[in-house]
Amino acid sequence: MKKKIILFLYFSVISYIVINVSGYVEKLHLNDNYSERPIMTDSVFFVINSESEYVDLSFIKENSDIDDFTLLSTDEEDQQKYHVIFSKGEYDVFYGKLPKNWDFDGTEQGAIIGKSRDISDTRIIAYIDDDGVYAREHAVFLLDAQISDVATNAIFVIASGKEEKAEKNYEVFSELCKNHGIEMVPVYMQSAIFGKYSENEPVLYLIVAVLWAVILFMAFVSSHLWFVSNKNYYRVLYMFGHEHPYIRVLADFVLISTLAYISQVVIYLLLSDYSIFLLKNSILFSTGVFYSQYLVLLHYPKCYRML
Amino acid sequence: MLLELIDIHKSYKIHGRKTEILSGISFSAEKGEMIAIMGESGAGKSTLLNIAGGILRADSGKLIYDSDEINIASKKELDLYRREHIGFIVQDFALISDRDVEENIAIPLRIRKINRSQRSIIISQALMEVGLKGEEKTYPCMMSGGEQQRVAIARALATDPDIILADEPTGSLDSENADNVLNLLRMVCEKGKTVIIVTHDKEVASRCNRIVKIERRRRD
Repeated sequence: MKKKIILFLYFSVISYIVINVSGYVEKLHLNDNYSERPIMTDSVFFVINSESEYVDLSFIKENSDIDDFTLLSTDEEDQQKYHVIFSKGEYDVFYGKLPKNWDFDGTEQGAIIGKSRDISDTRIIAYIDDDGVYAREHAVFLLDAQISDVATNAIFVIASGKEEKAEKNYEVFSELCKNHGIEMVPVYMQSAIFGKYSENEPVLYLIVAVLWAVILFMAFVSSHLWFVSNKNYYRVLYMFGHEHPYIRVLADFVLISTLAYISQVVIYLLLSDYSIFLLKNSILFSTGVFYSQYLVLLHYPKCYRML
Repeated sequence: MLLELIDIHKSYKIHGRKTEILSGISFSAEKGEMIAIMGESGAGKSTLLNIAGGILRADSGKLIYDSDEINIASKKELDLYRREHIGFIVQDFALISDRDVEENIAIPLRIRKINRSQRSIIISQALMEVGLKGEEKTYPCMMSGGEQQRVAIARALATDPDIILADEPTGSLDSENADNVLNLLRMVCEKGKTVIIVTHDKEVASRCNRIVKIERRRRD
């Protein structure tokens, strides 16, 4: 029993680490298409656009029924004039740079949030600075003044290099939207780390592949050790006429793996860190463990008979 | 005749080639007999013992227990035969290291679905028989080789089988412990059990009622 508990804990801890790491790596890779919540019409979207050069909006297009909305974004930090993306209708990818002579007539819906301290442009509805409090004051002021004019289908883009800052900004806008009865849905699209790796996708694939190979190998080795350490037991069962010692071995493996899998799910539910790719990874991991155990059992089909 | 093996054939595939280990062996044992099976390495002593115990299936031949033929093609029948009539003792004791003496002896009793209170009584008696009363909670690693083999004997006796099959039971023991184990097996035998021992040791064989020699004769 002690062995089973130790193995159970071992699988739980290992799988917890694996799923977190692989989930994180995968998140870096997939966050172009990652949303924590479904996108709905009449929502205000909040996009964390961390140091990325572009935002791929095809995801939003494909996953929502919004066909007419405004996205307002900013240009680079040192620019005095804001560059705004505006679209009605067809689009695939929006790049964060529009012609500087683009004519914003003030009837569009949305908000501008930029890095620059220069808020002289009258078209700015809201402004977020890198510094925090200052930006917050401006944002509150500006948004409060004009948010009633902002349509419900608006996307706020915050150009923040750090996720923590983006989250802080989210709080500000969340409060504002709440005051105006507008739901605000966070949409995470790109992260700074992903930006660094985006040109090296094969590296990411390699990391994930190596990680899985290591994990499956570990699962295989642990299954092997489990079997070897219990071989005597199964042998004795057979010696003294147990009807199905082989099934007993399988049942032990399945029981432990299942317990480990359940523990993963419970951990995620308890930590409220539950998301679809983590679930997918935990299923993949458990499948890997089952499969490796199956391989071990294939190796020892008659082991319990050898006296 | 309590146990009869008639015209037993058994072959293994070794390096892709079929090698016959036992070719037409016949062998029988009376109730209360103590028999030594001897022969050089590879002659098929252990194979014969395992066929007699229903652990291995012979390719052909008959296994008769107490005038009833056991269907060697039926796994279920062999399982039942082992469970009801056979007790095994092996050279490496085959004790479960993370279970105490009581739990080790309880394994065959659990297989036979004997309830806890009965198990406790049977285990006490078996340990008394092998001179290890009071060692119920001791783990095998804390015992000497001789004591471990006595636990293995107690486990083999726990289900009260008619036949005890011992494969080199003294092979891992010094002469003193080997002597104790043989005395124990002799005592078991005198209580009406049939004991069949596979051994290389002439000293061990000399303590038995009968010696069966198997000659190595392989046909590829």
